Amino acid sequence: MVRRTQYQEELKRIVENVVEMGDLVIESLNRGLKSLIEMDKDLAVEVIADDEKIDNKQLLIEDRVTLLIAKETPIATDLREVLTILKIIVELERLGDHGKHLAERAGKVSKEGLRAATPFLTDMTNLGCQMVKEALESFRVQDSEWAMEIAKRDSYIDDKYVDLYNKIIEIIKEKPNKTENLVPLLFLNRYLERIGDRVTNICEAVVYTITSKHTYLN
Amino acid sequence: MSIEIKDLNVYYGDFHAVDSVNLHLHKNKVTALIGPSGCGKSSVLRSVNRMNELLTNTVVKGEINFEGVNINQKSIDAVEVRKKIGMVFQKPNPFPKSIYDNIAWGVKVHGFKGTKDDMDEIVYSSLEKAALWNEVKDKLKQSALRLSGGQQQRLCIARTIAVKPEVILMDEPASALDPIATGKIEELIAELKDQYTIAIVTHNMHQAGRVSDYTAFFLVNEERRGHLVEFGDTNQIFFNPSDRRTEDYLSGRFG
Repeated sequence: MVRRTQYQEELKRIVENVVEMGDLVIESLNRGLKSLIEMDKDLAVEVIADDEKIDNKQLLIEDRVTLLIAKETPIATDLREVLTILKIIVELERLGDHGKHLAERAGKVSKEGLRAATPFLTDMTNLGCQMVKEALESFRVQDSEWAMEIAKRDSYIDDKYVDLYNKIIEIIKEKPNKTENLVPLLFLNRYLERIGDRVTNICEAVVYTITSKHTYLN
Repeated sequence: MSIEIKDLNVYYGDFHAVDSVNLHLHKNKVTALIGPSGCGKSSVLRSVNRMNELLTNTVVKGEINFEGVNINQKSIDAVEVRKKIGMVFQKPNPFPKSIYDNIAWGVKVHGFKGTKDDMDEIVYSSLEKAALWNEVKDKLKQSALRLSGGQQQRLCIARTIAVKPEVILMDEPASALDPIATGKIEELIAELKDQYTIAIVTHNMHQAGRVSDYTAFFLVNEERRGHLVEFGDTNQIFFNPSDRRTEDYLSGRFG
């Protein structure tokens, strides 16, 4: 006989909130990238404003988790699960900021540099967003093997990062007078590289929830 | 002194209530016995100081090794066992006597031969150890029944301590108390373990987590016999129990 249905239902709702927060983050990254590539300043303004939605979601989840701990005092796996939620939403909030970072540079980078960088930034964003989506799903279904596999994909993003870094440096050397408009691409490259690291942190927390073991993936 | 329980079986008439329990109560540690009602944890606790045999039709088989001797045998004086292995019950049960006499009585029963000063010393130090002295020192002649529930329970602990036991068994000692009185009992348990080996039966999972060093989890099997499912370091049991059933019980998933 399964009991504490109230606890299980509230936990389920909170996990749904986390997945929704993840969707907002993915949307922010995609639209941030779009505003950058298409130099769409109106879209950029929207993306920057929408970051507040992500922050609010984080606060809402934090409150619900706090209340759940206060009222239900979970133990063992249940406790690790709710603590992991708190860790995940911190990473998601920062991932959302990267979407904002992309939007903030819309129309402010060298066109030539952007042309060269677009395929790399697109690849990194797509892969990163896929990792975010799957990492949260692996948490929802409590699958540590899956979480470990997702974290491994971080190395692909790292490779892209190195390639784009070298490319931008080359362009800077060729066109030193454009340096000011090229350096922001180095920052964006760095931000997108961080997506993989943050998803890895999420995956480590998922593994910890399920196995109670701290692991360093990558 | 530690206690080694070996292959303990308890029968109430035809009913086989406890099935082959092996359990070690470590010296100067608190061991919590947890599990749903009817899982045999109280039967195990009561067997340790031979309280079970006071019930008719009860048979306790197996060894309770204490100070190198199996005390679960007829040739061992049960009264002497209960002096060394004291017990505190769920409901505080002071005698309808003064606070002072509540403590002195048990000491006299066990053959006290000292002076009035010696007795005063025993009563005062027992009340101090039970963290009750400051609250009752001015009214030792007052009836114990006028104390609050929490104070009565600490008086019962003082009464147990007065006969200088080595082991204290507690059967849900705080379940009839409010949170403040419960907190005091829990603090007291933490202080007492320096001098005594303690076993506590509790239905309050978080109390087990707070007060104990080791936790023993009991369940009933298909034949409704209580048995030990898992024994371990309390931190390990609460962090990552090795048996799925322990985790389900701690997390309130069945009952």
